[in-house]
Amino acid sequence: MTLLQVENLRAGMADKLILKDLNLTVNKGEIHAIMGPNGSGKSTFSKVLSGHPAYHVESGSILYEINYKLTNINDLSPETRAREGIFLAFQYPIEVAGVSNFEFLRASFNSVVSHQGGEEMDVLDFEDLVRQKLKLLEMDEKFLRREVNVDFSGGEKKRNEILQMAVLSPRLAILDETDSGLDVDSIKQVAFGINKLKNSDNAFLLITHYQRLLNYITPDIVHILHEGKICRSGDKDLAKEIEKNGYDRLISQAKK
Amino acid sequence: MTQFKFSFKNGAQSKLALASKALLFEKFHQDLNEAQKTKDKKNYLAANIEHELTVNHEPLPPEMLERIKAKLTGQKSESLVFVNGRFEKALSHISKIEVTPKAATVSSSFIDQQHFTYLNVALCAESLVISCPKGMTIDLDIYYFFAPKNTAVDAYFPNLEILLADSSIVNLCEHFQNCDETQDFLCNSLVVIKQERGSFLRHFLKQDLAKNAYFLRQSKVEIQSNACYQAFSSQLGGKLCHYHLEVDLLAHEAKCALFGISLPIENQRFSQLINCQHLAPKGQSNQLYKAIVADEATNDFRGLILIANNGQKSQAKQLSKNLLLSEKAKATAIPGLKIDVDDVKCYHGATVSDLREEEIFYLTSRGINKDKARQLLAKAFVYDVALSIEDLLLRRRSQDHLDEVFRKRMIIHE
Repeated sequence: MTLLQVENLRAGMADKLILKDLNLTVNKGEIHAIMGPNGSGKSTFSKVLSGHPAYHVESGSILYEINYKLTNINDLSPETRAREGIFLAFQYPIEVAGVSNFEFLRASFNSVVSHQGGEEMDVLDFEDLVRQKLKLLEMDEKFLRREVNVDFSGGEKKRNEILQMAVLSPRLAILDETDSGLDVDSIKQVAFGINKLKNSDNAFLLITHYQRLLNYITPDIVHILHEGKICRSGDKDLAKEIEKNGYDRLISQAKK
Repeated sequence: MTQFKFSFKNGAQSKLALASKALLFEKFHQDLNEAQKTKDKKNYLAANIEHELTVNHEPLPPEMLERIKAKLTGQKSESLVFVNGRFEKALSHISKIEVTPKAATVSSSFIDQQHFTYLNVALCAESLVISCPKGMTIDLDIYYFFAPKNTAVDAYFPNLEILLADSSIVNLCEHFQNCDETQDFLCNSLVVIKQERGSFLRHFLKQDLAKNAYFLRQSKVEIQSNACYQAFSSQLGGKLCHYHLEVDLLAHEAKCALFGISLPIENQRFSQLINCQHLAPKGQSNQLYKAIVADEATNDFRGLILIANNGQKSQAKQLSKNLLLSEKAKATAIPGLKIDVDDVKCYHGATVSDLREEEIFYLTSRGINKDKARQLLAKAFVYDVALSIEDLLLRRRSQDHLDEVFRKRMIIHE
């Protein structure tokens, strides 16, 4: 079943149009990798999908499944999109001093749950839930007491994003260059988390420059984004081809 | 030209009748006029204070003292209580320290705004010296309660000198608070701290007065060799609140670390004037002041690091960061450096900004609504001050204080 259907999306920032007639369909249970050279619009796409206020949609639509119906979410605020199950793992997570990870996770979780008509979870029940998630991701409980991303290493920040993702259980998770700046061990840890969280009801969009994250996560479909639109799509072998031949060759082939 | 008029009650005038006090009073007006003539921008205070003040040295009725006593639970071994600027021995606990009265004089001069010192010394009901003995560790709480009764603006002038003998360690906490929501009043508090060799002072100052208070604070800290002064101040209350701190590093390897937060809301006008003089070699000073300014409030930070001729190998840092939460909020930050030697490491800076869109987006993208996101980020902004404090005790106290502030007070006003 279709979870996300992006149709002829034209969007950008201030006067600059960055995404130009972008089309993409993501079904539940799928992992899509969106690859592309610098400046192709990858990060813009992730921010437009999650409702960053600095970006605007000029035309086209972002249809997302809410209550079994594909709904245009162009006008929804970022918090509403998050509550409807869209999650963006940041390339550069923000530090929030004075707020513990636990407190932050609980505030996020409760706002999502109450939007979906559920009851907010009390501290003890929530602690149980988070412990289960930590165990699933093989992460240390110390993470919970630390302040959100304060004094975290690059790898810890990215793993913390995965922990937030595990707690919020999004239906559409967008990972914006989660592998950038990470060593091989950290990439493996992050990939391990994503593989654990994957199921038949959710979908992942992995936005990345390189193939290396895809050594540990097998995408169903790989897309090449160039000049604001998807110029080529294929299976996991396309990522290997990019690694081998570079973007230029594949993009010029696609243009022909 | 702003002129202050004072009326006197219950013996306050007789103090002023003394020639020395009258002279100080005269000096106050002269210095103030002089400052105004030279358009001293740091002195925008005078224009904002009520100009008719009542000086009242009347003791409080017993029932009021009983009410204050009830508020003083959990006092530590050493605590001093002042009510309306007067020392209340019956409410205080003194065992290790020595508290003695002295003649109020101007014992230390400030680089700036000396007139408020003159005013305090001229009009204070009494002046006390607190002596902390050599080599001892002391927890000392000082409570200032205010219960003004007149419909005119009552003015109070607490005056203290705190002496730390060699190698003493003092954990000082000053609390300024109202008894109730009250009439307008002015508190002009003067504290002179003298730290002998190797002494260590942790100084926590919390000012949470009612919104109809004018709060003027003058502090002078004189630090001898290898002594260290660590301070955290929190400005929350009052319609006008001015925190003036001057630290003199008088001898070899004297150190200070000064931290402060200021959270004006509505129409509150807060200011800080922080001067640090390096008067001997190898002194170290570090300052971090942060303000969150909401609604139509203003915050004004002025600072000066002065490295004198013999301040070789000094290290000094001064940083003022300000966060504006509304279009009408206003912050001014002017840090300053004056260096007379070349072998020093100095750094100063100031920022005034709004919350970054990227930060708000991070939180909203987790389902948190925009108001709550702004509140969490504002908390993070000032919490950073507490996290910058190296001394663990002072850091913990500051963190606890900020937790309490954010529990009680929503500082985000859309």
